[in-house]
Amino acid sequence: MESFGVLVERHQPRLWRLCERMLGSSEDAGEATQEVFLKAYRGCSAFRPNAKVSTWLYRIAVNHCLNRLRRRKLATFLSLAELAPKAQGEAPAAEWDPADSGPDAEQRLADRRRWAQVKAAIDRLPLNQRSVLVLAKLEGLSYREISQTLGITESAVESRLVRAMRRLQALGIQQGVGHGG
Amino acid sequence: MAVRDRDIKLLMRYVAGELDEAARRRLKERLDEDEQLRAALRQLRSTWSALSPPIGEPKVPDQTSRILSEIRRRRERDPGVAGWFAAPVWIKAGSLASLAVGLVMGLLVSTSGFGPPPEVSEPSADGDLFLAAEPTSADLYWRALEASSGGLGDEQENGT
Repeated sequence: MESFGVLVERHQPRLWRLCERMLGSSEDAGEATQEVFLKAYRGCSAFRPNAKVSTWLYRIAVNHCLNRLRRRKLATFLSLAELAPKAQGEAPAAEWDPADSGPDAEQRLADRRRWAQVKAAIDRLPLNQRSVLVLAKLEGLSYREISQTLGITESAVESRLVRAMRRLQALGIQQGVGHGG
Repeated sequence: MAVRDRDIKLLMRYVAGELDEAARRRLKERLDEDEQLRAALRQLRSTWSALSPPIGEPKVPDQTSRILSEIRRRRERDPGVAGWFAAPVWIKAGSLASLAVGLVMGLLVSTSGFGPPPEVSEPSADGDLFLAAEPTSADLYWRALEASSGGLGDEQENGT
């Protein structure tokens, strides 16, 4: 249990960040991270010593987030009440922190708005493209590491990443240019 | 002419830092000569940069103690399940193999019974019935019944 505690301490920040980027919510990320480590604890016998621990944990986390996103999509589809605020363009409460005061306040607010738009665009990607994009860009994993994490070929990683980028371009996500939603 | 898919993939590898030195040099030479390729690279870079999170991202909360206490709690609540999941692969494989063998044996016994029925020899000339196998208590009962009633006809015996 102590050694598992060390594992949690070491990998928890990165896994939390990954879950937050995959799920788009800090609250969901906290719960998801906990579930990921529970799954890792239960499945530690399935871990192969020749694999990297981080890759193994990433794989569990990505699969967990994808399952969660699929369930969320289904729940959204089934619940008309949930659709209403999104249709009006309301952002989740966690996305909007109170504005800071100070000389950089405007810039920070603009950054947050831009980031909210980027996250909204990422949310619109198909799940298989989203996971590749998050791992490549936001987690800084190489094609090889992504292919090991997701259990797909490097060629599939490449195709999904290019498709994701094309879709984001179509949604108007560009540096220094007005972002579309 | 639009940029080919193959070239877009190459540019994407370049932007993502996946190309080695030689491939980067070759691509740069092509970029010097191809305006469309340069435009495609600019677009890709622009989108890629826009995906960088802002500097003041929320701090990651430390959940270590919460996660560990949750694992302890669940392990105490359901040790069997945790034990099964934590068991080594060879134990799981052995258990599953035993289960499979048990199922197969059960299936065989249920379809073929407990063995072939005892062979009945032809009735002897004096009409007595002899069993090739050891007589069971049911046989002994019927024999006693036959002896007390003075014997049964051949047809009836063969019918039993």
